[in-house]
Amino acid sequence: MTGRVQAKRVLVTGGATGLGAAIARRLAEEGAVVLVADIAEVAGAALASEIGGHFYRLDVSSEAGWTAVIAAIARDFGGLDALVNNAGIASSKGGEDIERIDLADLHRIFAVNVDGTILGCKHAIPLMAKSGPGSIVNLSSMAE
Amino acid sequence: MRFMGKVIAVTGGGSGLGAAIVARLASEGAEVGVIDLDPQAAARVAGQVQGAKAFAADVSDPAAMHRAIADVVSWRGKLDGAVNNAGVGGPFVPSADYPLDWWDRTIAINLSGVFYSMRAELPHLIANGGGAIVNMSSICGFIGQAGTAAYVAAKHGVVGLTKTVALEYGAQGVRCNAVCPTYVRTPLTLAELKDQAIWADLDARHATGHCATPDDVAAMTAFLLSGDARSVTGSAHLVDGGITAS
Ligand SMILES: NC(=O)c1ccc[n+]([C@@H]2O[C@H](COP(=O)([O-])OP(=O)(O)OC[C@H]3O[C@@H](n4cnc5c(N)ncnc54)[C@H](O)[C@@H]3O)[C@@H](O)[C@H]2O)c1
Repeated sequence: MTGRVQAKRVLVTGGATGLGAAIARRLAEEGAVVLVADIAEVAGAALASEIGGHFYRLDVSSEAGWTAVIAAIARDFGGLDALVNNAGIASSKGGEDIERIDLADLHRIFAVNVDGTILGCKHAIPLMAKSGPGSIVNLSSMAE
Repeated sequence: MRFMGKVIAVTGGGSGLGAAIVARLASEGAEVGVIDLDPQAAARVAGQVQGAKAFAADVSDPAAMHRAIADVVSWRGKLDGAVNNAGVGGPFVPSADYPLDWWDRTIAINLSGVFYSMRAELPHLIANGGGAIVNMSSICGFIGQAGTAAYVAAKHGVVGLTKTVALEYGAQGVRCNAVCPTYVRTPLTLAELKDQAIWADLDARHATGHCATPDDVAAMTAFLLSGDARSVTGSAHLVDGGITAS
């Protein structure tokens, strides 16, 4: 299937594995120029080369990281049409049982899932606004 | 061509959103049973696309809906999907003064009509080994709207019915979802909202700066009917340009 996102420059965070990788593959199948961003360099670079995209190392919780990646995308591709804020983590320690939650773990979850999404919007929007109509998709979870 | 070889019934297919849905499904290969109260409107829409056929029925009449769906199934031998879209608008009057005949009529068509349609469709979808239903709700299935008690109640009811049917028939391969459009320029809305200034004001209330079009609603409906949505059921999907986000 091709067409719906033909030639659109789409940045997918957490794009190296899992849902992010599936999103990246599908977008590439439908014609997008997929920019895979992840902390997992080997898997990310391998996927990007498999789908004809481009890999950027990015920790979404780092503001300096975002500044550098968006500048690199502007340089390499001249603009950005869409952003998928997919990078996210769950607790690494004993689930999210409130009686056992580890504070450092909680802060890391918020840094990646919340700060990461907000920083993504903050840094991508100026470049997207210069590139014409754009679209952002934020991955949430069952919230109701 | 997501609907090659698929047979899909669309109620209220003779006008507005229904007509756009018929055109979209047919363009992706579906054979569409166009069901409408107005046989000429159904015939006109069916005549504009490949592989569609018109059927006349009033969705608020359970026996007539039963026959119409049976006729679609005898036409093409099966049923893969259905869009329960037929609906009416009505006057803007606060609840204490809302005309009772309009209350009864709106509930009969917009809520009971969806229920009767699904009762007619479900046995055929199950016999087919599964399928997908899309029910036309509205932003009025999410939020209230002053002056339209019957419409809002019916559209909220459609969302509840949709979730319930999804739970009841998921194991038999039937998915059921609702689409909730914002204001769209169709004969239904243009009959009540005649003033161009009202439409300019409505356009401006959307984050996108414009009301949705029939094609926008048809795109969401086609997605929900397609295999792309195989894990989507029991939910209500806004096509609202962000109007309910605030
Ligand atoms: N237009 C909008 O702004 C809007 C917004 C949200 C939801 N909707 C919903 O979308 C659906 C379609 O609306 P539309 O705007 O296309 O309206 P429309 O008036 O253009 O088309 C409705 C069609 O349904 C048919 N119909 C009416 N009563 C029927 C009955 N009892 N049995 C069989 N067919 C019947 C009509 O003949 C007509 O062809 C409705 O359920 C409506 O509530 C519309």
